[in-house]
Amino acid sequence: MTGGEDELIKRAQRGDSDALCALAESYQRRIYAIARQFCRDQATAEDLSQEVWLKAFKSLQSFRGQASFYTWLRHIAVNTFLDHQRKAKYRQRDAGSTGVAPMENISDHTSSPATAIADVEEALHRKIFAAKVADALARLPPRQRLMLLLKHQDGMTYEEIADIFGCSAGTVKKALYRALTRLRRSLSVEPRAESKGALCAGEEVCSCGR
Amino acid sequence: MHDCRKTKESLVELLFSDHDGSRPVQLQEIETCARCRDEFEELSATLGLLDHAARIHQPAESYWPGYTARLAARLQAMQVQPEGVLRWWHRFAGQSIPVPAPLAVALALLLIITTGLAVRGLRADVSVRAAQEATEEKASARQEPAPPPAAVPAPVSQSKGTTRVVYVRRCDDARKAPSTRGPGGEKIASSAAPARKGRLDGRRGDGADDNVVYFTRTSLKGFEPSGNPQIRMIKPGDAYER
Repeated sequence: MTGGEDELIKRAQRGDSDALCALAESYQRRIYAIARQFCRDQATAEDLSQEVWLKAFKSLQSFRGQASFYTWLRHIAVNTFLDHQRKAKYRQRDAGSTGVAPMENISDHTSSPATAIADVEEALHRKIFAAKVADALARLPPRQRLMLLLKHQDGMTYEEIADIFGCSAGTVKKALYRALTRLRRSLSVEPRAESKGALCAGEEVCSCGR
Repeated sequence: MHDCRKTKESLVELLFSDHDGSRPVQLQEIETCARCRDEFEELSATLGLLDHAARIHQPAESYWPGYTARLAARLQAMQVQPEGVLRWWHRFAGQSIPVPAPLAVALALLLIITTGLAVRGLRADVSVRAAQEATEEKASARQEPAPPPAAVPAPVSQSKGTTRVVYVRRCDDARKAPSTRGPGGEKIASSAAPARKGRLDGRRGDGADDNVVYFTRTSLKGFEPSGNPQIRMIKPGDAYER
């Protein structure tokens, strides 16, 4: 924790919302990136990531500085995301929704300058692809999805993830493997042509029976 | 010996590039088995797709000032919300708690059973109390005499009750007692009361002197009272009234 960050935290603990906004500028992209992958539309991702900051502001008094501010914030983020998922599940059940989010407008303001230069067809392909990945992610169980995002997107260690979810590091690894294989199936990732049908190089000594 | 299952378990560590001492061995295992290598490459490609999608989702730099402004507005709005009890009440009243279905069913069952038992106990209490009250009422009715009824004028009967002691057997001593007969065998009666002539055993006493006993109030010596005294109500005008 830097000295400037420490000072901002103290000011935010005294109720200074400007200090919290300054803190948010340091971490909001990381939180938003996880939220954007966790839920499929941008508006929900923004709402959810800002909800994390609002909760952090409310409970900032409980921050003692034993862990880093981002570690503490990540705990809040995980709980907020899982709560949101539970509520969304109940809302979908109540509304009889199929849970499939509509694809976003191609010309929304998330388009980077690079895509603005590219032609519309390319932008469309990118959006279709992103929506497909988002749908595949949405089919994963919320805990597995969040573990995968925290590991891959945020670079957390297995132990840190296990600590957040209250399980062992081995359980995290198994969940990650299951999440990846499900994702691979959903996205129909095919093996390379040259390795298709190839036998196990050590077939005569392989004990897996394949 | 290569074991695909064991290699799969270590694939995750390899995919997320956790550098530990076992990594060269894992790589060697993957290189010797085409299927394990394929799986590793497929999963790596999946992660690559995730990265690609994340890059597409990444908003432009122009997005962030607006984001921060909207966050600041929400923080300001949160700070002006009612404080204290009112704020707590607003949160409490608008709160919905998602409960897992098995837990909800278990709680509902528990509530139904508890309510049933409580109602049943209440009914038992009421019936026991009613029985107790009835018993107490009966007991009080026995203990406390009923209030005297209002005086009703009734005609006064002129009858009187008398007890008549019937002597059924005469002792031999009494039969031989000289005081009951005179020297000439004549029957004597007490001077205090007139002699009475009675029938003792239901047989006619005419001509049967042995069965006829004349007795006076002072000459009952030797007679024993009957175990079954006969009581007769003598009403005015009755033949027995004297």
